[in-house]
Amino acid sequence: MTVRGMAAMSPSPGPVPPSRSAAGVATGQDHHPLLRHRNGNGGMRRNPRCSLPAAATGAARWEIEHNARVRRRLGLVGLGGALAVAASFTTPFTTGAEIATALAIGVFLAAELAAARCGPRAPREAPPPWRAGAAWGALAGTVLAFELWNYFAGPRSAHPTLSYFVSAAAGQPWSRGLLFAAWLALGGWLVSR
Amino acid sequence: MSDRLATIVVWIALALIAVGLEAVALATRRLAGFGAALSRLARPPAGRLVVALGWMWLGWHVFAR
Repeated sequence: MTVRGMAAMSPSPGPVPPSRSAAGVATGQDHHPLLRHRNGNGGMRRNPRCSLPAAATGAARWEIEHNARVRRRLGLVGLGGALAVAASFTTPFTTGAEIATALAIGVFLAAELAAARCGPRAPREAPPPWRAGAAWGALAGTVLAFELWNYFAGPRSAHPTLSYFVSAAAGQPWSRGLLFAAWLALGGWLVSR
Repeated sequence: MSDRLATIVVWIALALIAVGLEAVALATRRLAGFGAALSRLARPPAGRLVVALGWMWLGWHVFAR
């Protein structure tokens, strides 16, 4: 019998495992690193809809969570690949391009909402201090100012903007598909943060 | 130097600065890398909203409009 099968047969809600209080608050006794990550939210209560059955503990809980995560990611990667292929055959200012992009944005919003429903994310590592990112802020401000200056200076052939370069790079179906996949990957990375 | 060439040179310089910042971040750990800086920005809800809207705008601007 698989671990999933054993978990499914367990009575619900079942006895409260020793590592979790009746209120669903992690008590720091989940030893697997991934479980520590999942539960490392400072003892805050997790949304019950995001929690596994109380009977699933230890390795069984880890396996169920791991398998679900793998299935979810494979599904999203497959959907993203299909969208990228579809988008590669579209051109801007067409209904097809709008549908492909809107679908990707819809999936992104749904994933964001699902992640938000499960409560605050546990930080994977200590966040860098704001000053450590100041250089990127200054660069972003410079890029934005130069972009706007070029945009209003015109003509575009004499003052190319970033969009000008990206449009040129996305001129071929294969490059357009690759750019779309990269944009989706960035969105997936943002959701995972 | 024509306006077009000057503009392209500035864009290349900005791209090289970005690559240099990432290299310094990887080598010294005194600077945050681009991913870490973006994660830091997206940590508070308002920052996350800004980053998410930026991502959506980027895709719509490049691929749809």
